[in-house]
Amino acid sequence: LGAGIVGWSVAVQLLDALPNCRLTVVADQLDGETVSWVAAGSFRIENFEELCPDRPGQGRKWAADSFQHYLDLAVSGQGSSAGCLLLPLVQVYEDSNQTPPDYLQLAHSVATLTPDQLRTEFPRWPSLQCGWSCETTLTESRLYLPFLRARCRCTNLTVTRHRVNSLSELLDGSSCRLLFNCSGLGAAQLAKDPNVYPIRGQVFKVRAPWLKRAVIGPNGETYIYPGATDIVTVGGCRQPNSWSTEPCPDDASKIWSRATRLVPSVGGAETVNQLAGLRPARLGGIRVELDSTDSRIVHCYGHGGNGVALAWGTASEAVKLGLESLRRGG
Amino acid sequence: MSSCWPFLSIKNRLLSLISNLNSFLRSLGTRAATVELSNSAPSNRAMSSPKIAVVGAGIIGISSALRILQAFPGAEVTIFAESVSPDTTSDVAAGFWGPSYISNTPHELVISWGKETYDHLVDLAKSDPQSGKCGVFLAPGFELLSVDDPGTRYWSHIPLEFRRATPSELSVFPSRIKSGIYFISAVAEGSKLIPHLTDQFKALGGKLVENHRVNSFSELQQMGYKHIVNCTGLGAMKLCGDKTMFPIRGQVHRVAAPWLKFWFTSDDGTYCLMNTNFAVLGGVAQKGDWNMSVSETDKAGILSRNYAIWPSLRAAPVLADLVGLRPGRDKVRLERENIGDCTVYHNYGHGGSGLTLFWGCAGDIVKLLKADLQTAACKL
Repeated sequence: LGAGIVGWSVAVQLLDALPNCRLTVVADQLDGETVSWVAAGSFRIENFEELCPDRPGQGRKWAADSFQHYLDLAVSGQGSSAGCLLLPLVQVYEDSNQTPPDYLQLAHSVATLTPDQLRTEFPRWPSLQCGWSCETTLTESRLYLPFLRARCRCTNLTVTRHRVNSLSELLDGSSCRLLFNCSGLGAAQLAKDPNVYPIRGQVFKVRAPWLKRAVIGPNGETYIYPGATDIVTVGGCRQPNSWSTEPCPDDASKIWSRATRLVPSVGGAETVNQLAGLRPARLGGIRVELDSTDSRIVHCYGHGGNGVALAWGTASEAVKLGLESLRRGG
Repeated sequence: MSSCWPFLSIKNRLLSLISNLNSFLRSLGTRAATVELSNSAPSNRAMSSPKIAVVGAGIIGISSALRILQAFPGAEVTIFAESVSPDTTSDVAAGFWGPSYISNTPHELVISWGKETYDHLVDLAKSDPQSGKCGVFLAPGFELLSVDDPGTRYWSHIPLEFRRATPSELSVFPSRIKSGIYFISAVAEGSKLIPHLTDQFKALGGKLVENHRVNSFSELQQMGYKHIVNCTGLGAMKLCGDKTMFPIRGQVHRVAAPWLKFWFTSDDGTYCLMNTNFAVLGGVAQKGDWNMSVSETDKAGILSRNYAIWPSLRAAPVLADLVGLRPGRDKVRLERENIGDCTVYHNYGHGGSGLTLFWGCAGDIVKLLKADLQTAACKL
């Protein structure tokens, strides 16, 4: 249930394990309608433990599995068709006591930027105190989701557009043995999970093929991400509990002003469109577990702003849980 | 007294013109030449506007002409060129900052010219919103080496973030790569930058005469030019009889690989360098080879060497195959020479480093001119 990056990552891994199963992907939003498409798709996780506070080390494992998957893809010959690439990235901060973000433990080419370098590279943001550069991965859903779908070479795959109002709709009176709930924000209602809430983001998609390196500003609030083609994602904002999926002009002008201050050559770029998306966040971290009352249900939702970054690793665990449940006769 | 333009005094008109020029130059986002008023009477200054010819409209010619006009706003500067962008060698080059194929040019000069060029490009890239569209941007990447190289270079203090490559970043490349260097290069994409600089040059009053091959300096002397800047690259062989010049043939293949965000070069001459809308795959360096047609053998070699380093390039469609002759010489020639009644300022022989050194070389040409013109009213 769900056809964003998490849903498709589950589908591919499930079919790898059970190639003969009959798989239906059900979702009310497909492809360009999903929040996955809005996201730039970088692997840039600030804190591994916060992903799953109840299980120490679990967040790091999800991150490491996902990063390896994307890295292998980016380095291979398939990177271009998968929309998966190795991305040079710089992240800068105004806090001189800033500790390095967790993703740097996995990223390649990590280097500390000196105050001199910060001054030279960001002349319009003189309050920057520290920063790191690295090479991480970026996965553009616009290419990656069709790539995953093509990997599902299963004659028994059906994709259905349908808005489901409860999980029992899909389970009652059906021969369904496993239901993977990858409904993101939808889990608030579908899994009756009061901890799920949106964090609204807004971006510009601009044409700026001369930008080859991602830049992340203080607090991660401002970001410029070159993508798999000549389109660059410029953002952003984080508005908890805002449900609007329409771009807001006031947000747009604030985002643009911060972004052009950080990387002035963005100012010369042509805007292709503006998008707003709702990050499917969850208090208490990402939920990957078997449902406590119905062992046919595996939950995999609540990724917040790390959906693309963690889809593979969390999906991997979800599929493992589902297969175990099947084996137990659940 | 009316404030209408025709009634202003000559001095006020000049003041107004200079102030407009200054704001215009500042608005172009370049290091503008500012003009100070001297104590000399405006009429003396107006009479000393020099007439300067620049021969050649590659990156060397265009940048020299522009910097001259920025330094001497009253000058009459005309470029005479046989070819203009996109048909110059500078248009074929990927435009990467990185000293290469400059033989025995003294290191101090490479450092001086290279640093001035690099710093200028960084300045543009980091503060001018139009820089990307004009072909100027910064790009991270790797020099990959098949031997265990300590990673020291005489110019290493110039580019941003220069350091040895770490084992983790080398791990994504073939195992024959034993060491590497990482730095942020500055790209000056000739086919975008030359038209932009040409526009700036013309906006300052400069003139460009195309399809005009200059066969001798005396030709220009007869047209009244006492100051000639020679930026003819390989053309200097005929124009000044410079037998020390030789072509270093290069061949490149432009491919569409927008997913590739970093560049790489390898010590066997292979390179994959990012431009705005394509990646430039190379290369060869065939000394003394004048052949301007694309060689299929070279192409097969260039592509396969690149694919071996970064397999996803196989999926990149080839957009264009191009050949360029780098203007090779034992060292860059940048000096003044009295020929007949005029002074020639030579600025040629940059080998594979035209786009690495151009802004600094143009700066030195301006210094030479300044000393000769003795114009107290102008200051860089």
